[in-house]
Amino acid sequence: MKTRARPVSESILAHNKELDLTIENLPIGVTLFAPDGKVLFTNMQGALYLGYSSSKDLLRKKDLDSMRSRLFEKYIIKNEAGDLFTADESPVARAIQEKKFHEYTAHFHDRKTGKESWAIARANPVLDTAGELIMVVYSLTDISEQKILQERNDSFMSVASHEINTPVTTIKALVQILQKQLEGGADPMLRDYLTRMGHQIEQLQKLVRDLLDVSKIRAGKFEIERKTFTFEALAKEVIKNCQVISPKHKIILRSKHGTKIDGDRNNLGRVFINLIVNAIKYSSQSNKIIITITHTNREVRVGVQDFGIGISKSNQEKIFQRFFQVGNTSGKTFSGLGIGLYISERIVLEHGGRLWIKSAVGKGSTFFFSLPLQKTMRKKV
Amino acid sequence: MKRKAIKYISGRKKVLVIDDNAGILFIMQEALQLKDYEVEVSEIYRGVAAIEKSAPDMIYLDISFSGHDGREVARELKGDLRTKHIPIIILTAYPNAQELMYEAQADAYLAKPFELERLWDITAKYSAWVPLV
Repeated sequence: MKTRARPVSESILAHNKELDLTIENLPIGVTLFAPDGKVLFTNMQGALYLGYSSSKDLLRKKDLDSMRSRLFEKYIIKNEAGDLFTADESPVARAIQEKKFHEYTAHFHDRKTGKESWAIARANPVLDTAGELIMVVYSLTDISEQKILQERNDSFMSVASHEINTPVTTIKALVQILQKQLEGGADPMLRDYLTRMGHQIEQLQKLVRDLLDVSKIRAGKFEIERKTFTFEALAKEVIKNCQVISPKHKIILRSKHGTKIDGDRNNLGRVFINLIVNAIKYSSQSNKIIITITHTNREVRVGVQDFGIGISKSNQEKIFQRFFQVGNTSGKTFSGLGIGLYISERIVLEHGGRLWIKSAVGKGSTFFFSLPLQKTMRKKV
Repeated sequence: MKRKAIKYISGRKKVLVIDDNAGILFIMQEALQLKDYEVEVSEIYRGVAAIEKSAPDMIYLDISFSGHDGREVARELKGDLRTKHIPIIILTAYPNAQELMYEAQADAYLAKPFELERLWDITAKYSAWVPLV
């Protein structure tokens, strides 16, 4: 039996209805704004978030200003740092004005019910071929669950590090007290054992600190201190310490200047150590590592070069990700948690610098980082 | 004030350590005695009157011990005329030691784990500390 084909117009209408239903029921709030701020469309979630009982209710208002005042009547809205958002910080208004994508993460406190929630508000301008604004697609994604998990994770990391650090404090102090009492005294084997114990305790401390920092970075709470110090002195100090880890690799420093840097000496030392330890770890067949410090008028640039296994192009994009590690050709991975570069990059970025890599498989890698020099520092260089 | 000044010239400095971890109390006692301090350790806080009677030159105070919040203890001691002159050093393994010190209105902090040299430096500085007001 033959069935009659549906007319095209009927088919389009049916598809449109399906599409409308899908968008209406999305768990993300979607609202479309015309360039003059009038509301063109909204779905159910969009309306609920903006304080209306249904999408029809919102569409009756039809303009951005009345929606914004309604939003701020319903909620106290803060950013991730806990500062209040004001109505003129609307991502939609900015997207219309600047024709650029804007995104805010915001905390909503419902004034009436007291309900707390987190959302990402994104305003995406849609332009025609001439670059004129057609509309702004505004979306609100609820990330409350993610935030709760993140807070739980942060609090767990804080408690866990506290619990690990308490026994570490006791062991570390006991080792140091013994070292003090044996100073210049008899048994060299005993002293050697204590030195080794001391190094292992430092490793444990470093691990705990790194894991805590990962948690801080993810929560947007990682901060650096700023003090002026001589960059090359730090480099020499770190190289001296790293040389002990691998006497086989000769670590060569090429630098002509005494550059003053305004930054976090301890954390920049960690960046140096991470890069040198990586260079040692991934170049077991070679015997040298070259560190070059150069500068322009605006920045100081450091290169840490090894002659090891190198990193493929595809892996070069991944190495700054958390927990990523490069394996060798047989797929074997190396020891470590894979968080050193992730933390190092954050430290450099916090200083207003950048971290990047040049590498070829089988030939070795050079990791670079640059740090901007302050105006007052530039003259001294 | 006068009594303290005399003590500064003549006697051994007395350090009080309040922490509920026996291992920490042990190493604090051992490490400070190596530098000839008189050390009193306690797992609990017995109140302002007890501290006044003990008359330490400085106090190392854990941030959470035996059901106490070290910040509240520090604020109580700093808010009382009998004990406000005693330097309080927050001793903590929590990662936000500096923030905790400010909240406690304490004078300094020592983050666990620490180097003995740092412990000795802080102790030397604060046990000899004579408040200006």
